[in-house]
Amino acid sequence: MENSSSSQNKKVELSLDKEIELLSKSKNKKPKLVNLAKVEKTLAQNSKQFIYTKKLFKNFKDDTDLHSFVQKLFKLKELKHFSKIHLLVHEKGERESLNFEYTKSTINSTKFSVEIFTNLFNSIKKSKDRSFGEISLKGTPFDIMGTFLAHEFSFRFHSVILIIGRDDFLPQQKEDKFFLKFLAPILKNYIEPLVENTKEAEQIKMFKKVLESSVYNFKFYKGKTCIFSNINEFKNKPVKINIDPDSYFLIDKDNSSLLDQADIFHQERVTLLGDLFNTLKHELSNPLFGLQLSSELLLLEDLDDDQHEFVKEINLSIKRSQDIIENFKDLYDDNLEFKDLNVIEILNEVFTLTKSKSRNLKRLIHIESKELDESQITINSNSTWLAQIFFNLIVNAAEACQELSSPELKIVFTLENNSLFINFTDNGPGISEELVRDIFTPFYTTKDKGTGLGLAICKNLAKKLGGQLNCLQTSKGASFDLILPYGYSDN
Amino acid sequence: MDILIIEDEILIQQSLKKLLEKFKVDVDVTSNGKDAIELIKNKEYDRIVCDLMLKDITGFDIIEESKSKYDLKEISNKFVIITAYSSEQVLEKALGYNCILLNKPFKNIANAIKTMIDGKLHE
Repeated sequence: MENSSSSQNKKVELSLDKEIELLSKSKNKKPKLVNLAKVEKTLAQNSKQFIYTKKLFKNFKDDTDLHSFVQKLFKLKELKHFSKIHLLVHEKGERESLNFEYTKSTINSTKFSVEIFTNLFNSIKKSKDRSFGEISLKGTPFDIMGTFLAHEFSFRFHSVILIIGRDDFLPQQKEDKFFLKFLAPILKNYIEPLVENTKEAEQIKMFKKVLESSVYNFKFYKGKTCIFSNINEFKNKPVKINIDPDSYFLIDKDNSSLLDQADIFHQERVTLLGDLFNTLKHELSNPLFGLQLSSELLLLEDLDDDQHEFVKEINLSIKRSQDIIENFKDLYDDNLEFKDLNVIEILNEVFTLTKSKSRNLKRLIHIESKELDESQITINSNSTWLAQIFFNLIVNAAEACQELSSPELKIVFTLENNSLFINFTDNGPGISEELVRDIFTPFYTTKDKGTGLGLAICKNLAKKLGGQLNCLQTSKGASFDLILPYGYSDN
Repeated sequence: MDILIIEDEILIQQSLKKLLEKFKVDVDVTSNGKDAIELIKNKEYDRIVCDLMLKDITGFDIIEESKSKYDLKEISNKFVIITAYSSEQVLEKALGYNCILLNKPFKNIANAIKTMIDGKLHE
């Protein structure tokens, strides 16, 4: 904070300085003033400034873009004679700094070295009234004519220098210097988030450039959304790319919630799997039928017992394959219908589908409540979503337990307050306390090849089914509670 | 009794042929539509078992070609359509010819064979 002031108006400026400080901090400390007339004068100024500050806040309130924010500064009546504003931005730890150069109608951005930035920053900080002549910019790449006003800001991640110039050689007026001092603490609140946003926007622009000039041939589909995740530059926040139907592609910082992205992923995956499945079904059902017919035919032939048994096994395998195809059709039905379905049946179908992973996993299905039938638990739900949740929980359990000699998954059905509780507990290594907190976070994964979307999607699907999916804190093994509304429609 | 089987999945074609032959039926087979049309024009069949999706043309094209030889009533009696893809449109079109339509895979193979022989639907 500046303590000294120009010798001429020392007393007045000192007290006003304190008023400004007071105003910006909005604390009710009484300034140390002796002259009553001055107190009155200051208070009058104070209230005027207070109103003006409020006006300024209102003016800047809704700005999310740094550049339009700076353009607004030109519109302030106190700054109307100024023609140029520089905003020098240095991200701490970077070798290069950014220079945003604004006139009333243009924006230009260039880069320059951190040494120049640091020297300028320090000399502004040390200066008495933050008013400079052209000479101070010698050796810097900035093109400002005449004298200028400057203020430095130090933020958490960035250092910023604000330079306001008139492009003439007249010395800056006392009023101008005073105004900037008054304005600086107010601006400080706005510049920090805007600079951070801008930095991110610049990085996305760079990222887009890299993609465009990439030697890799990215195949983007117009009107679709691509999501890039795990990019260090964005602190692992996913970047959503919208492919504009008219231009090549556009990149935007994703503002939607992460769960929405999980939804998009899920929707696209279901559609894709649905298409894939239909093709497979068409391509497989005919040859399978041929096999079925010919094995039936063989059974009519004069075979000895061994041969007969053998062909019968072939026949059963074919029938099982046909059943799997039929079940798949129900699982990847992309309709959003709720209908009465048997939870046990769906669970068994999913076990069939996950057989390659869950083969060694011992299934312990237990019905806790007497009201429930162990072969038929009917609820009104969506089979695709329910199967997707079962699928993830079973595969996760199977993967977690794969090192064990006797892996098992206990599934317990309980009826409580008209809700069906399905608890999945495995005997694997379990989930640590910190992990339990993050386990449903999209893109969070502990697997080498995981997307981190599985459980996030499941939690959302459980919600869509009118229920919930919770991860329980246990001493050993992972434990999940899937809670679904119990009951079925009358028809 | 003579039956023509038009089916391009060889295992289905040959199995049906052998199954029908067990019922003392004479069976001709073909995998493509062009040959089927020639056979229909040059020989008298009691039944024509026809797959809808062939590599060159569809079963409906074969039925249309047969109109030069048979009237609508004969067509509805002679043709048995077998298909794996029974969409609404396919069903409607088959009904238009008043033909019997069997979905692949057959729910009951014995009943399907009976249908091919007597031209009546057995549930």
